[in-house]
Amino acid sequence: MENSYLKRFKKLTKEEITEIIIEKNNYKNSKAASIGALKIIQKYRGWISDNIINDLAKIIGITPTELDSIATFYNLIYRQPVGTNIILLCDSITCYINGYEFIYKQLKFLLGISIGETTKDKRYTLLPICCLGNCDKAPNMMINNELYSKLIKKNISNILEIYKNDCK
Amino acid sequence: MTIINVDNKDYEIKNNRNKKNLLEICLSFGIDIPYFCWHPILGSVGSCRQCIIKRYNNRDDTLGQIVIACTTSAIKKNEFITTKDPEGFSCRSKIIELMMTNHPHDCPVCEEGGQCHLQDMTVILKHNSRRYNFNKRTHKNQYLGPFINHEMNRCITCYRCIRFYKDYAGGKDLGVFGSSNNIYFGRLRNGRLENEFSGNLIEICPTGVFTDKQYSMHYARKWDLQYAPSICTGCSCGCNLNVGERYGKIRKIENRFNSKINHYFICDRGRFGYGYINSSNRNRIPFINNNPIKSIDLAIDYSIALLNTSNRVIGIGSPRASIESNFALCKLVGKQNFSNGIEKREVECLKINIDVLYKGALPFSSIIDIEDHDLIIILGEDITQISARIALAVRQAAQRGSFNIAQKYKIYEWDVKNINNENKHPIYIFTTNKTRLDAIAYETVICTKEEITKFGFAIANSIDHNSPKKKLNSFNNNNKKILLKLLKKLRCSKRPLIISGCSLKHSLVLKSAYNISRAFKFLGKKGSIILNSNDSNSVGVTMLGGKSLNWAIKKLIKNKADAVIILENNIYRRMKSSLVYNALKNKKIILIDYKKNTTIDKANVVLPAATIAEGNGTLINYEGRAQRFFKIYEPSYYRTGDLTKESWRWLHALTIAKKNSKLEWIHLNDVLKVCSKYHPAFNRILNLSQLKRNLARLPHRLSGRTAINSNIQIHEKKIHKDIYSTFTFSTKGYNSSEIAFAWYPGWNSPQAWNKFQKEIGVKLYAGNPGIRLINYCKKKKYLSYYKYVGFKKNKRWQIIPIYHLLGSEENSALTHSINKCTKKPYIKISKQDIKLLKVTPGSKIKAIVNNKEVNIIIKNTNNMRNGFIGFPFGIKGIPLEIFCMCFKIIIIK
Ligand code: SF4
Ligand code: SF4
Ligand code: FES
Ligand code: FES
Repeated sequence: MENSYLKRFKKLTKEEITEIIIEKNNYKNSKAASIGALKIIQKYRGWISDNIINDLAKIIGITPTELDSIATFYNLIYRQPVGTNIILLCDSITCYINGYEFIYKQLKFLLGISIGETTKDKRYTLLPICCLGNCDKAPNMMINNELYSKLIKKNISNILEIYKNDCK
Repeated sequence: MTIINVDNKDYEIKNNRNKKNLLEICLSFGIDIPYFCWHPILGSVGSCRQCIIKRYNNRDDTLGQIVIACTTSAIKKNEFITTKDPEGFSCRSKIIELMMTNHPHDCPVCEEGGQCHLQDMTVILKHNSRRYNFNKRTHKNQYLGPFINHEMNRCITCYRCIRFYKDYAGGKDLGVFGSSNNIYFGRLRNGRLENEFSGNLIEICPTGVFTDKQYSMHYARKWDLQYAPSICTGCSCGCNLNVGERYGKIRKIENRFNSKINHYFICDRGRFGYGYINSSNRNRIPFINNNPIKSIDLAIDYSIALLNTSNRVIGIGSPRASIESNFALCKLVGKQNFSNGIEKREVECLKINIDVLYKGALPFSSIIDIEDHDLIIILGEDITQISARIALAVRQAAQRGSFNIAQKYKIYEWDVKNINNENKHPIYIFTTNKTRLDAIAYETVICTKEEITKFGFAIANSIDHNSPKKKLNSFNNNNKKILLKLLKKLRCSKRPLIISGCSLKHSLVLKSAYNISRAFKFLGKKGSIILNSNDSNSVGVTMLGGKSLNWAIKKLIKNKADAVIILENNIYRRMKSSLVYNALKNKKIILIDYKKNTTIDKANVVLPAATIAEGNGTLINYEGRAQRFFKIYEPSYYRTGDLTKESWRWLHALTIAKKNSKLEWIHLNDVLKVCSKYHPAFNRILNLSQLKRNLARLPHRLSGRTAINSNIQIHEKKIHKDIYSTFTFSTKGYNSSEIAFAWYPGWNSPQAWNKFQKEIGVKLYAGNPGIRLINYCKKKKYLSYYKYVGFKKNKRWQIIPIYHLLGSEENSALTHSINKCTKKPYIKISKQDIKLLKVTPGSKIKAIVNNKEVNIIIKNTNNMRNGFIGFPFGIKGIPLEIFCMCFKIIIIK
C-alpha cells in the first residue's frame, strides 16, 4: 500500500505516508484520522500547504473541502508558513487581568511582530491561545511544548534567548 | 394530550406532536418566535440562539428559566412558557445585535432585501440602531457558477447552507472554513457548485449570502413581482413552483410547498430552466407560410381551409403539453387519428407504467413517502440526472438508517437530522453508467440493460418461485454474492421500494421491476414502487390513449394521411430526422408551439401556443397526480398584438370553426368535463381549484401603486381581468389553498410558509393542491407477473444514454446559464475499446453513427462495459434516435 501511495501522491514522503497509514488503521472510519494525519504532516513540514490538502484528502478518503474545513477550524493546525518556534500567548480572562498586556507589549517590542505574525528571520511566530489550564500561575505562555508561567516583563528576553539558536 | 400554556393561553397538542420542539409547536399555533438556524426539514442545531423563550416549572413559578426553544421539547403534561417576557426579549435582541455587528447593512443594494428573513427578524426584535462602532470583518466572495451569487459578508453563521448542501443533498464542494468570529462558507476554490440542488441555497440562507444570479440579471423586488402557482415541466415529478414575473418576463422561480412532492426543495433544472419562456425565439403571433399574421381569424380560417381540403388529418400530441391541450387535439382529429407524440419504445414503457398504476401489486410512492422506505432497489434509472427530486428523497431514505438508532436512545428526530453517520439504509443500484448516488449505495452494479432485466427477474424469482424463471446460477460469482446479500437485506426490510423508469426505453426493465414488487407483495411486505417517466405529462397523455409517434410517421410516409397537426412537440428530437423529414414532405402542417423548432419552416400554419407562464392547464406526474398550473401574466397586456393562447383554445377554435358551432370551452374545467366523459379517471380533476373567492397574484406593493408600469406610462393601465381562473391580476384577494407567493404580514422571506401550515413543515392548512387520479386499492386482482423474453446477442455498438440534469431536457437547456453548464458532445468508452478503436482519450474526433456525422470528445472510463458507448442524451449535435440501439460507428480522424 505504501508503495502505491508513494507513486500516486508524489508530494508526500515515505515517512509521512507510513505514519498516516498507521494512524488510519487506528480507526474504524478513516475520516477519524483527519486530524491525526494533519498533525503528522505538520510535524514534518511545520505547516499544511494547499497542495498537500488534496493528496491528504485522497488518502483519507474525504473531499479536499472537508479536510480543509477541519484544517482551518483548529487553531493549532497551521495553514500558513510559521516560524521555527511558536509562541502561544494566553489571552483568556485570568491571564488577561494578570498582565497579559504587558507581556504582549514586551514580546512585540523584542520581536517586532504583533499577534499572528512571524519574524523576518522565520524564527518566531506569535499566536494567541485561550486558557492553557494554568490560571493559578497567570500570566502564561507556551513556546513549542514548554509552558512558561508567572511571567514578568523582564524575563521575556531571557526566555526568548533559549530559542534563539533553535532550528528544527 | 399535552397542554402547553404559552403567554397565559392554553393550547392542546396531540401526543404525536410532542416529539416536536417548542419552536415548531409555537409556530404552529401562529406565535412568532424569531429563529435562524432551525429549519423544519434540517432540524435544530442551536447555533443562532435567536429562539430564546422562558419556561416555568409550573403555574406558580414566577422566575422561570431561559431555554432555547428549538432544542427543547415539551416533556411534561402541562408546559408553561412565555415568549413575551422582557428578559427573553432583551436576550434575543442583544443576540441579533451581536449578529449584526459584522453585517454590512447593505439592504438597498442587497438582492435579498424585501424577502430577507434577517430583515424580518431584526424588525421583530426591534433592533433598529447600531451601537457597534468598530471595523467589521470582511471576506472575499467567490465565483460559484452561473446560478448563484456569493456575498459572504452578510453571513450570520446559522450553518443552514452547509447542513442543507452537505448533509441533506450530499454535496461535496461547499464547505465551512475557519472558526469563531472568522467563518467562511464557500468552496475550496472558485467554481460552479456542482450539486443538483445548489439553487436551494438561495432560499435556505436566511440572509443575502447566496442569491439568484439569473434573477439578478433582471432584478425586481419581490413586492413588484406578479406570481402564480405553477408546476415544473422539467421532469415527471411535478414539483410545485411559484413563478414570479414582471413586464412580461419571468424573473425568478421559487419553491412552492407541497407536502407530498417537493416540500421545500426543487432541483436546479426546475429553478433555473425558465429561459425558454423569455426567449426571443418564441412564436408570439401566427404565421401562414412563414408570413406573420396579425389576426386570429385569418389564421383560423386558413387552417380550416387546409383541414377541409385534406382527406385525413393526423394529430400529434405531446407528453409536455397539458391534458386539456392533448384532449382538444384528440377531439379535433378523432381518436383514431391521434398520436401521443411519443416514440414507440417509450410508449411501451409508459403503458406498463399505467397498468401498474391501475392494477399493480404495490402502490406508487409519492416523492416524500420515499423517505420512509428502508431498502431501495433502483433498476436502470439514473435518477439524480433524470428526476432529481426523487433522488433527493432517496438520499433521505438512506440517511434515515441513523434515525432508528436515535430512536432506540430516545433522541428526537429534529436533533439527529444533522448526524451524517455511516449507518445507512441499503440502496442497490443496477445501472448502465455510474450515478451520483453510488456514494451512498450499498452496491452499484454497472451492466447492460439486458443484464438489469436479468437481475430484476432473478430477484423476483428468488423471492417467489412462481415468477418467471431467471436463475441465480446464470450470474457470475461476484454478482451472485451481491444478489444473495440483497435478498438477505430484503427479508429483513419492513418497507422496500423499487424504482425504475423509461429512460432506457426498454419495457422489460420496467416489467422486471414490477415482478419484484409483485414478489414483495407475495412476501406480504408493505413496500412501494416507482416507475418514472420522462416528461411532465407523459403519464397523462398515455392515459388519454392514442398511438405512438412511429405510427403517425408511418401513416404520413405511406401517404395514408395528408395533413398533420403538431402540438408543442419537436418530433425531430424523438425520431430519426430523415424519417420525419420524409413524413412531413408535401403535407399540410399546422404547428401549435411556443418556440421556433425545426418543423417551423415547413409548417403551413404556425399558431403561437402558451407556455406554463401564459396559460392554465393540468399536468399529471409519474404517480398519476393531477396538478394545475395557472397563468402568470397576460401576454397581450404587455405586448400589444401578442396573440399567444393556450393550445387547447386554438384547437377548440379550430373545432368550432370546422363545425360552425358556438364557443363552449372557456374555463379549463369545460374541457375536462367533456374529457372525463371519455376518460372517467379524469373526473376527479374537476374538484381541483373550485374556489369561489378571489386569490391575489401580487403581493402588497411597497414601491408605489403605479410603479409597476411607470417605465411605460405613469397612468395606471387598466388591470387585465382574469375570467378563466380564481386569480386576479392584482393585490386584491386572498392568499391561501393555491398559494401564489409565500408572504404573510411580517414574513417576507420564504420562511412565510410557516404561516400557511397547520403542522409546520408537514401540512398545509388547505391541503396539497393536487389530486391523485388513480388510487391504489387493496382488494383486487393484481397484475400477474410479466414474462421473461430472451434477447438476441448484441451487435456492436450499443449506445447508452447518459443523462444530464442540465442539458438533457429540451426546454430548460435553452436557458443561457444552463447552456453554459451543458457538456460538449462526448462519448464514454471502456479502456479496452479505446485501444480497439485506436483513439486517444481527450481527443476530438468525427464519427458517423446511423448515417449522421457527430463531433465528439473521447472520454475513457472504467465504468463502461466493452462494446458499449455512452453518449450524453439530448445534447445539441447528437441525434436522439440512436439511443439504446445498436449501430456501427465509423470514425473519421
Ligand atoms: S441580507 Fe438582509 S438584512 Fe442583510 S443586507 Fe441583505 S437584505 Fe439587508
Ligand atoms: S451563508 Fe447564509 S445559510 Fe450559511 S451560515 Fe451564513 S447566513 Fe446561514
Ligand atoms: S487564562 Fe491563561 S491559563 Fe487560564
Ligand atoms: S433557531 Fe433555535 S438556536 Fe437557532
